[in-house]
Amino acid sequence: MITTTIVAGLVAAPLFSAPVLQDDAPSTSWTIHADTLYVSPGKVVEDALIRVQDGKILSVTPGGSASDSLHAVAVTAGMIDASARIGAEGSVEESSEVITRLSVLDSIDPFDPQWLRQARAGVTTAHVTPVDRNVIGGRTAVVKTAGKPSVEARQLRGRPILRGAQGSLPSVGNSPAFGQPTTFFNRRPTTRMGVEWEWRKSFFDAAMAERFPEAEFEGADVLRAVLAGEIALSVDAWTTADIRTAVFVVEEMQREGLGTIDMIVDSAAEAWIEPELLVRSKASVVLPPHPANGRTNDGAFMAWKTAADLVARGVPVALSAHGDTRLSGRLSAQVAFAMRGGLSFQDGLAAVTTVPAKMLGITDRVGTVEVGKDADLVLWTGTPFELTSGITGVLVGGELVRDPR
Amino acid sequence: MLTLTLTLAALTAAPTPTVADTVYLKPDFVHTPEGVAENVVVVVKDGKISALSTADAVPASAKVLELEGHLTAGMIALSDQSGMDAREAQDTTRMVMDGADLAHAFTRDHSDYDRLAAEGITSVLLTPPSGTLSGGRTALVKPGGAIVAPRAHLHLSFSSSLFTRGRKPTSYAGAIQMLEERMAEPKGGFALLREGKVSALLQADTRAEATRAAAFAKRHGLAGLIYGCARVGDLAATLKDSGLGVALPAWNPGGNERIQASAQALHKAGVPFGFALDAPGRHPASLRMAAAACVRAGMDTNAAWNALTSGPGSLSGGLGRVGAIAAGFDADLVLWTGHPMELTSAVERVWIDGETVHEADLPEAEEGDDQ
Amino acid sequence: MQRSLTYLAQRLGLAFASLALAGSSIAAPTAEPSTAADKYAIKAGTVITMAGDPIPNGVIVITDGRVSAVGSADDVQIPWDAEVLDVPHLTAFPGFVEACTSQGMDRPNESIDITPFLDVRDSVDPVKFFFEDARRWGITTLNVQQGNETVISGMGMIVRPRGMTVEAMMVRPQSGVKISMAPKRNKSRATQAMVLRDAFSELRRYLEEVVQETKDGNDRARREALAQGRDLTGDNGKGRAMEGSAWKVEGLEAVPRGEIDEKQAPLLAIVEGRLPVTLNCETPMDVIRGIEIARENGFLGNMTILMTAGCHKAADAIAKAGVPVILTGNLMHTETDPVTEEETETFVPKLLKEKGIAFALTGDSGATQELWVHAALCVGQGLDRNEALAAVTTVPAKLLGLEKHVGSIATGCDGNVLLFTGDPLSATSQIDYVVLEGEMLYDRSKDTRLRHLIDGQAQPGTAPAEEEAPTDIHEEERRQGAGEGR
Repeated sequence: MITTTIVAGLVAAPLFSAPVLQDDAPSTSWTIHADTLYVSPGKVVEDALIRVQDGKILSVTPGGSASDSLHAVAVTAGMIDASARIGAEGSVEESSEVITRLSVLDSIDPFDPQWLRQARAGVTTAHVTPVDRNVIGGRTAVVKTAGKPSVEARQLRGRPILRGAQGSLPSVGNSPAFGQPTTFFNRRPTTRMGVEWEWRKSFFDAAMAERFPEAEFEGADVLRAVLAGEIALSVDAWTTADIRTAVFVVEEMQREGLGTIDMIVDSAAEAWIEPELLVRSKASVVLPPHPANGRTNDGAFMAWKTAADLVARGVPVALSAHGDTRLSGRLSAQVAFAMRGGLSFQDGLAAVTTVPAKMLGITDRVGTVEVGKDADLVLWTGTPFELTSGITGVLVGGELVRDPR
Repeated sequence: MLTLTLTLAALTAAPTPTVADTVYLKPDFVHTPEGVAENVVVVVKDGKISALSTADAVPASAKVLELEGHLTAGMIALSDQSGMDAREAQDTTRMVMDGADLAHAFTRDHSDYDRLAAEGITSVLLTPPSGTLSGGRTALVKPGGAIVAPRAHLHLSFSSSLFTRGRKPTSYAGAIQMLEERMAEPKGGFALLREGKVSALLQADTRAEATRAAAFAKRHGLAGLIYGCARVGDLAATLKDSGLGVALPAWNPGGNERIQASAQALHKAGVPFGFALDAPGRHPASLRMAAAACVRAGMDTNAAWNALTSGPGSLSGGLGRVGAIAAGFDADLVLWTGHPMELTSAVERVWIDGETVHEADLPEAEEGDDQ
Repeated sequence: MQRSLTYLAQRLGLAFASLALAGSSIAAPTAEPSTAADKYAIKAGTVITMAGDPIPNGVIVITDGRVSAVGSADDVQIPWDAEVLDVPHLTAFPGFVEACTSQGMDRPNESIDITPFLDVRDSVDPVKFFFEDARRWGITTLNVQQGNETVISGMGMIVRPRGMTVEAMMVRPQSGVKISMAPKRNKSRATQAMVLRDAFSELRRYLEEVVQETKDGNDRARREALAQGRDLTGDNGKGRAMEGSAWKVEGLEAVPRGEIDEKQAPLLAIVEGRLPVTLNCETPMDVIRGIEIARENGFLGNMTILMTAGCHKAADAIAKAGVPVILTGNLMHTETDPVTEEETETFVPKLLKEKGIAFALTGDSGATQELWVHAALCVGQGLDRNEALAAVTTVPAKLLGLEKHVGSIATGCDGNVLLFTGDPLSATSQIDYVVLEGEMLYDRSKDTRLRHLIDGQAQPGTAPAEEEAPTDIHEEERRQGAGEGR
């Protein structure tokens, strides 16, 4: 049983409680009146009435209000964090540097209080990836941040994505064995170059195994599916060197006639240095949280303009808070920071709703406030994403996880 | 504190019935899984409870033992390491040790067992340490030497405690995959599991792990119990559906609220459950406290007591033999000065297989205190 | 290079000269202006004064560094000889006031427990990026205090982020000390409080001893003072009865104040309520114990509590003691019930407001040094807009005793004005100019480091950004490499 209490001022008044047991399931039907409804980026309905039934959006009509409706100055679709980074423990199988068959889904803990914090910060959908300790770490998962405490119930079946990493992270902890190996970390790669080599080797080997069945190895079929574009590839790459490597690997596979990889470059902090590279690769991009002084992980520097610059060049950009739910670091604040770097409001809204929805292949369920979509809504006290606007209400699948009343 | 010397003295001085004899035990109150009854006579023969009778039905020539107090079945601890060599309790040299029988680690004359008996615990389930994917097969044993079930469960871990950097697996998905591979081509302990000759002891520390464990059991049609998760009560409906039982974590003086809430939820949902003890790391007296704390938190007294006797009796591999005062069960009995769910009640006398293994000379107990 | 120059020069006893030298050798975006206009006028689209309603189409006249007139363009005459900053598209706002920071120093902490005889003046480094950031984010007044790893800290100092010497930055020296209730590393709270109490009982014992010695005709204190070359003229040569609201040592009037030991004199000033104290607290119990010790030793009325959000549980005690607060770190306090896992969120600024406790926000929390972010978040969580703005302007000004000088744009105040491209609390607003005491301190169009942050352009003095590599060559190399890999 997870319940949450908001303290309004002096008195600890339980305004909200979300019982998870089936016998007292929370209501998932509401009417919400929004002074301004941001249906989708670029589409606004003033004075809108949103009817939610059984967790889905039943209707969106302009004008009028119902006596029993919840009210908000502004309403947007629930936000999607394209790189949520929740639940690190046991999320990646490190016994091999290339893990393709396993999924992070098996490590997701729906009881982790992090989820509710995410939901209450307006993040209603999260892309969860295995921790980046492998070159290829396994399959990712997309889940709702609230609802029944079961992974199956919360999972969104979007397009399948395989996760991997460029850069220094996968080689951390590996070391050559002097004499008898003592752990499976006595292995390659131990350098960035080695990581790159492992990437190319994996794809080449998988492609070769198709021609020479005796060379088949476990998980090669998954890599071939990536080459065939059936499974997308999410690559963690912070610095420009790593982004280059990621793009070059994709281009090399294409040139060699092995396939066209559909790539998402995650944590592309230095994407601003060579944006044309990303344009050319047709990859989509997820940016890490905006740091105050520009410095991010792995020595990478993210200029504030990064999101705006990439969007201007037509690169699909999603923003991420990497799981931070504090007021000054949460996903909504990331949009504010990107807007400070020149991103427009529309593109900011898109970067946490429609763009990640498309990237993850879940546009049929989430990303906009349209009839038939999941009732994932964020209720704001003012213009969305401004730091002066609070999030007063959040619905996930019609369930109120933050109650505006 | 009762001591070994006292126990030995009691063993020799007590009017022990010979095995061949039929003894009629006539206490003030008898506790059966259904509740507390007066005017019941427990008939013990050949170390077994042969029948429950009434005072009128006792033959005149019978050897009747008039007992003051409450007579109950002996308590059963799910998950325990009593009498096991430290090495047995810490062996994590292999990730999968499905062939290991903890029965081999059982040291029958170990002083740990005297301490168990002195607290009214007449059966313990020896379980392997955490830190392996499968630490071997459990054994249900009795203080005094009898092995009730030499291969009760195969231990399977879904807990993060098995992740040690540098060894496979390091992930939940990897652990489950390894287990699935072994279930696909079962050998050794997994073959026994597959054939239903042993049930599963599913180690899971969190609700998410317990959910995964229950799903695994369901996929493979396994019977058995989940242990290690204090908040498992939140999954009562799932567990009821799966048919699995639960071993709740051992009593912890630092905080028991979650365990108590789980006990309540499991009881309401009708999921059989018992408690871990994890002696000798914990004092044997804490087993009774685990259930008593539940009573204090509002649980039905009889249900709490059953969680120490009949519940674990069926889950531990001792079904039909231990955990109840009923015809056909082993005569593992405890005589208490009052209701055992009152913590002020003390153990007066303990029988295992009809033999007295412990007798407290309560008025003289102060002598023992001096030691 | 600059650093080594500075250190070398300091060792040669040329500290001030070297600082100036170091300053001139770097291309700071905001070098001290060479010519200062005596009269400066700003015409802004809106003037938010924090001393009344916003003035549309406003004019601010600054004469000799002070605001001489502020009002609507219709009402205020701009002197003919004033330098005019005509920015009708911008919004004028008072400079932000940072009530307590431990940045901008060589090292923020001193390992000795009780050090009020030290002074951050000797540690503040004007060329630190921190002060450049302060200009960029419009913080025109900062109270620099020693870090929290202390019992009784060295003396703090109020500065403005201007110039290349500590003297040029100085607003007020000896602005007070920090007393930390949160334990220093390897200390328990009990020993921390013990050391603190001992300091005051040691002071008392010392004063009694010195009074007795003076009565007895023993002139040891005088000889020591003379040996140390202390000034014993004027007020220092006179004795004064002990002041303050707590304990007193009789007969102190017999001891010339200049003869009091240098290590004890600041403590005496604390007890007499003459030296402001910032009380660092990390738990509610720190607050309670701190208030108790402050009351015992007479500095309750001259104290500000620097606290983390978790201390809000002591709000009633703070309100009762009438002590103002500087809130540091997270604004939201989240507590998880260990049994039920129920999470309780408390937005602390709002709670402080409801308890009637004056509070300032600080940007000194690591995540961001921007005071506007904290003020904006307060509005987002339902705090009145004016309250939120006051918490970064007028309230900290008052806590520093500078309410007549900084924190608002009103006649007589220092001419510290920020010019925003829009609402000061909007994410998309930028600070185009910062005017400090009637001089242009910061001009965004000349801020190369900001260009670096926003556009990624190279910082001054660093190598130019990586040239776009001829990618076809790289590809060729990689293609060959791939062949080998196979």
